[in-house]
Formats: sequence, structure tokens, C-alpha cells
Amino acid sequence: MDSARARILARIKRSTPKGDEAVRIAAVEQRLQHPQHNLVPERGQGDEAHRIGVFTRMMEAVGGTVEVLDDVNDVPVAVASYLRNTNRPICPGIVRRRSK
Amino acid sequence: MEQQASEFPANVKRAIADSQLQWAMTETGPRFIEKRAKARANLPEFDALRDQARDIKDHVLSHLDLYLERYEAKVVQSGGQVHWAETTQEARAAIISICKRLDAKLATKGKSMISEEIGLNHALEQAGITPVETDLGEYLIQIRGEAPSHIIAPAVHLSRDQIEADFRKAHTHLDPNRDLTEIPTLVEEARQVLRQKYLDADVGITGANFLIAETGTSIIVTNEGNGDLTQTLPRAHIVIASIEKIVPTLEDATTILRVLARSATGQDFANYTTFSTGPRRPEDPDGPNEYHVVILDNGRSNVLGTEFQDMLRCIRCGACLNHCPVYQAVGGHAYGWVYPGPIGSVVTPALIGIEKARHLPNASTFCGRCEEVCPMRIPLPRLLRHWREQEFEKHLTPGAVRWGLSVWAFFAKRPKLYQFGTRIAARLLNLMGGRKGKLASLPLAQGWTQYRDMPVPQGRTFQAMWKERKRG
Ligand code: SF4
Repeated sequence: MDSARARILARIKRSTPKGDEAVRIAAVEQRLQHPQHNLVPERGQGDEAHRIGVFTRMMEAVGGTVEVLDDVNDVPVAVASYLRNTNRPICPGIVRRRSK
Repeated sequence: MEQQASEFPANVKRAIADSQLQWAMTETGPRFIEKRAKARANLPEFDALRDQARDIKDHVLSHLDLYLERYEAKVVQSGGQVHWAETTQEARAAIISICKRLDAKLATKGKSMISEEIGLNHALEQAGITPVETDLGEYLIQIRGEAPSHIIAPAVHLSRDQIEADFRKAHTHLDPNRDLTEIPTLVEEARQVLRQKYLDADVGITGANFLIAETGTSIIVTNEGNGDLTQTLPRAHIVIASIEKIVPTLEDATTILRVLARSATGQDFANYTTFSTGPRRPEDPDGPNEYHVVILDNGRSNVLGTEFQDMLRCIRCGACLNHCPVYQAVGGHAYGWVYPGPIGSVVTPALIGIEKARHLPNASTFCGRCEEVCPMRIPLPRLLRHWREQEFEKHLTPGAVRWGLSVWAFFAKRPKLYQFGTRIAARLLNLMGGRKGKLASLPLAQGWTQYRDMPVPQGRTFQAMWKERKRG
């Protein structure tokens, strides 16, 4: 297999554009040591408010809902009221176990 | 896998007469097109990303030896091993020798076109190792003993009824009276059957969408999560990938990922995009004890530096198949080998020889849709034309076609005579068409008139009108 490695690499080298080998090596080193930033779509940039807006739009596009809360402690109440308002049981697993 | 690319004309006849296949193609084809168009419309930067994706791969291809060496060093550094294979035989041997050393009896497999290319399943079976495909589409064609008919949707040619019948035949241990009329029940059954295989497997074999030189990482992109279970649960993870799967950095991989799923399925991103770097480390909660990468050449290095080099930018998204009127009419099996559609018609002659695959580059109307949608901007029609030139130069083209071409060339090289000839022919056809303006049969064009009438040329020739307008 080692000779396969040598033969494959030799064939590739033969067909790469002729020129200064040092330039080719430098180009690879440059790219790996200092990875360039490629294009990031506009919707993935911007400040937090913009990104929350994009997230909300995309979540709603797939049938989800989004509610923004000021405090992490408000999460349980928000979840409970969401479940109540959409007629969903709070936690079927717990209800079942308790009723045993 | 047995090559039947030379049987293309006969395969096409069969495919056109296959009403079930025709139904499946009309059902699914337009959906892929719509979804891609929507995904593209939702991302204003899509075309700019295509340019970057093309440039990344072009850069890689002109530095491929250096990136491969760097990738190998990084894999070794993270505790993995790299095996180089010049040919399909060497790739199979490398994988089987790892399996034998581990005394493996069962190998789960993620979807991999390279595994199809090297005929891995058959070789594993011969060596006493049972391969189990875990991608649902691949699993279906495995139990049917078929080849994939699409790069990303291997079982796109099958109907729900066929799948139900196949499951009943293959899963004889389950209740024969179970209800399999709904797609979710079929999926659930496949999940049940496969779940135990993941746990029992000794080795997990996957392909790779990308190999990252910067980190020695392989990436797989799936929609079912089967690849993750295949590569994390068994004792060893074997990746099989071809040399051109290299990208320089994580950043470059993410750029190409932005165009991959959008072009393939119209998703912004596939459901699972999984990065694997080396085997399990002591602090990892799970993962394989061994991590191997088999890097396959199989003729690709011969393509570098030639007029066909651009084909090596392909990321196997399948968009060119979805948009190809020929593929949509005949399906993937007609192409007779692993890679169907426009990219298959370019890649197959490079891998198995134009002598065996000479029909494929002719299976194109040159409508150009494949090039239009290719996320990697591969000039597919130009590459197909190069193969047609080679076919002609190697005298593989049949005598009648060569004769026809030489007659046409004689006129085409003499513009005055050509214009005169087309004027006469147009008038003659017009007369023959009579009041109906159509011809039900025409000498030398029965292939056309067998299925539809030929409308006769109307009015004057394009060149005559062009001349007149220029004057006016
Ligand atoms: S040639 Fe282009 S469109 Fe076709 S599979 Fe490859 S990347 Fe996709």
C-alpha cells in the first residue's frame, strides 16, 4: 500500500500546474495556517436582534412558535401556559406514574 | 458491481417500457426541482457561494498532493490510520484485512458511492463478513440485490407497494399479518430491524462527503442519522473516500455545505452533518477504538491536468440528475453502472474507459440545465462533448453516424452551399407537409417520427431573416 501512496502522489504531482514548487507549498501553508473567512450569508450576520429576527422567521416557516422572555426563571410558566393554551398535557409520563 | 454501461441502448428501451419506473420518475422528479429552486430563492448569496465553492475545489485540485499529505499527517496525529488504494481491488483488500484482523462478522454501512464503485458488499460477503446497509434507500436496494438509481436517493425508482412486498419477503421473522400500508410503518419496521444490527456490528463503514486537511476530519452528511450510529457504535470505523474529497479547512467545508443540501434536497442543511476525527479518546464517552481512512484513486489522478479535470469538483449532490430530461426519462439503472445522469456520463468513461461507456456521453440533449444548476459550476455539456470527440477520434462511433457527420461537415464548411441546401430542404419539407404543416414519417428521422409528427419549417431560414434585419 505504501507504494500505492507513492504512485498516487507522484501521478498527482506530475499533473499539477508547472511552476515553482515553493510557491505551491507556501500557498497551502498560508491557507492552513491562516484560514480565510469565506462568505457568510447576510442573514447569518448582524447584531443579536437581527439574528433573533431571522431565527424567529425561520422557526415560524417550519410551523414552530417563538416567545421571547426577559428572564430565564419565566421559562416554566411560559412552557406551562403554552401547553395549556394548546390543549396539551403537561407531562404524560408523570401523570401516568402518579395515577398508578 | 457488474458494469453494463455498454448496454445503454437496450437498458433505455426497457426503462421506457417500464410503467412502474415511469410513474416513479414523474412522481419524484419535479419535487426535487421545486425544492432546489425554493432553497436558491431563499438565499440571495447562493450564486456567490457557488463561485467560492468552485474556487475552493480548483485550488485543492492544483495542490492535491500537498493537501493529501497534510490530511494524512493529521489523521495519524489524531490516532487514525490512512490506507492508500490505487485500484478498487486494493481498496477492497485494505478494508477486508482490517475486518479480518478484528475477526469481524458483521459490518454496518453508511451510504457511500465509493463503496458501490469498488463493489464492497460482494467482496465482504465473499470474505465471510455480512454487510448491512443502514441508509433506508441503500437498505432497500440491498435486499432487492439492485444498484442505486440515484446518487442521493438510491431507491427513488421504487413505489410503496414494491417496498412493502420486499419487506415481507426479507423480514420473515415478523408477523405476516402486520399492517404495512403506511410509509411511517415501513420506516418504523426498517428502524426496528436495523437497530439491533448497529449494536451487533463489529465494524462500521461510511463514505465521506469531505476530508479536511486542516484537522484530519471526515464529514458525512445524512438525513436519517444512520451514519452516526454506524460510525460510533462498532469497534472500528472505516472511512472510504476518493482523493478529490479533500478540502483545505473547516471554513471551506462549511462554505461547500451551504450549497450541498440546497442543491441536493432543497434543505438549508441536511439533518445530520457529522464530523469524525480519529478514534475514541480516553475522555470520550463513546466512539470506535480504531479509525481508518481508505483513500481511493481508481483513475482519478489520470484525470487531473486534462480537459476533464473539472469533473473532480463534483460533490455528488444529484442536482444535475434531477434536472436532466434524459435521466428523468430513463432513470438511473439504464446508465449501467454506479454513477447515473450527466455527471455519471462524464465520470463513468473516465473510470471504466470510453470503449465500454461510449453511449453515455451521447445520452444528452445538451439543453444545459445540468451546468445551470451544478453548485460546483462543472461545465457538464463541455465535458460530454470532449468524450464525444474522443469517441470519434478512437473510431468507436458507428459507420453510419461517421458518414452522416462527414456529409454534414462537408456542407457546414461551405456556408454558401449550406444556406442554399437548407433553403431548398425547408421548401421541400413545406411542400411535403401540405396543409397540415406536419410530417408523419420522414426518411432518416424515423426515430423522431415514430413517436410524434415533425412540424415542417415555417417561412424563411433564420440566416435569411438575420441578414435582412441587419440590412434594415
Ligand atoms: S456534477 Fe454538479 S450537479 Fe451533478 S452531482 Fe456533481 S456537483 Fe451535483
